[in-house]
Amino acid sequence: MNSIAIVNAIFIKEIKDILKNIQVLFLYFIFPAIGAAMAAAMSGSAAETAFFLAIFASIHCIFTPIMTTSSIIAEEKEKNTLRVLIMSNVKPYHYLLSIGGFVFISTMVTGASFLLIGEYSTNEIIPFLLTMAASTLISVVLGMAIGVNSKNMMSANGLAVPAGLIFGFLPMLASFNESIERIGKYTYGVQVNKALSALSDFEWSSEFFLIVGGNFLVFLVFFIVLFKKKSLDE
Amino acid sequence: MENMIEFQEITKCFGDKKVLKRVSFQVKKGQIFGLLGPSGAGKTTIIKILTGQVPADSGISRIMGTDSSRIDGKLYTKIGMVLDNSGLYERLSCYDNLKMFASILGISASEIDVILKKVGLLDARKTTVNKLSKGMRQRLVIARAIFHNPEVLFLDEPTSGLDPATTLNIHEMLEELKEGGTTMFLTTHNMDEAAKLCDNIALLNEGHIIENGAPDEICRKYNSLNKVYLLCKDGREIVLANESKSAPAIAEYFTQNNVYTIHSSEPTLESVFIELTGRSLA
Repeated sequence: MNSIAIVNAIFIKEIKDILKNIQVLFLYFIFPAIGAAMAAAMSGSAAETAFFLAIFASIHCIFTPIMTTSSIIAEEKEKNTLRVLIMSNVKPYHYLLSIGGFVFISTMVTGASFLLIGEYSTNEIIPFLLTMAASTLISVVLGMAIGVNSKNMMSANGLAVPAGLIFGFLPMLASFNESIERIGKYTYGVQVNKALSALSDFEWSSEFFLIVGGNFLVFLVFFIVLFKKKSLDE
Repeated sequence: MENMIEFQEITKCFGDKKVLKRVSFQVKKGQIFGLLGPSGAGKTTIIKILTGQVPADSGISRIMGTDSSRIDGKLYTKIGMVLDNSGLYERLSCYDNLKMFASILGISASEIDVILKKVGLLDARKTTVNKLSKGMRQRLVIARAIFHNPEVLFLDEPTSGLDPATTLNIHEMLEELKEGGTTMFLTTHNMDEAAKLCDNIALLNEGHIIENGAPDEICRKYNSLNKVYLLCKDGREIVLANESKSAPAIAEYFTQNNVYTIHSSEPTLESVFIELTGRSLA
């Protein structure tokens, strides 16, 4: 069995499935839509527009992948489709690569719409996409950890929503409260938001890379521990 | 004839409850083996142990010579499963559900319509699963399970809750598969289904095999009444001993053209089960 064919088959299945899954599809478009609405409402003030666009872009690349990844995995467990896949010679890494890859690409594609909404200069495009990619990747790993840990969609949502709210909305709270900012700066969400807020002027310091890299490693270890304990299809 | 399935002295507990108590049976190649028992007897647990989903506490469980706990991807491609939970993608069509498995199993997409036609779902190929009836879903599950021509097929109550026409349709499919050499392991609490389809059966009650063998042999074994019943055209019911001494009397009724029906008194599997356990299969 060709691993690439298996990953591709699940990826294509996911595309077909998501187009009929209104609840999940909604998540991919809600924050770009809100960002566009805010930008239109504040068209007179470039600074405020940039601030809100950065907030919603951060939320999009944090909240959306956590929710969608965990939801997809949990639904497959609940409906028993994951069990059927595993018993059809699909290895856990095939499945996780497909789903993770799908969520990553779909988040990035819909997230790229912020580039169209905002007035980003040409030399801001690459840093924007790379920052969004890093955040999306971390969120996908966290979403996988939640999905692996959950038996069904209800229990997955019970974990994913708080996680998504904490990491996704913390940057917005941090911008209004110094105490929250002091603690929140150690989360990838706040760092990503800082970077997206001032792409041209942002200091790509070692602090940024250490915190973002550290968050990634923590969630990766968290996922591996849960995976070894629970396996993909408990 | 080689054993495709071996289940020896298997014991399984869930917490304090002993679900299987030293259960043993074998299934030879090309046979349909039926496991009968009421709900909660342990039928699904046996299938889960055989297919490696759940480990046994003790004993040996093998499929095609491989220990069930060591079933790998390669062996899964030789097994098909029709289990209690369908595992179909509800938002996808019949075609798309099978398309994905075709890609995973390396089967040509041109085979999808062939298998859909075989199970009578070609007209519904673009219908999403959430719009299918129960019978159609079950046929799609069977299509997925036999798509790759498995050597061994596990069916966990495949006709439970289905109408008679769909049940008959599925039985015909299974008989066709048997003619093709597929070995089948079937669990059911429908004794007519077991009697019709199975070469050998085992009766399971509270974790024990209480009887096993060919269905008609089991029925003959417990035929304690040994009677012949005649229903005459004049409405009388005559009961005679099932032996040579009754032959002249039976012949006389036929000579008089007075026989409406005649049948012997073999028990059904249900009555055998009730006799052995004091409870019914339902």
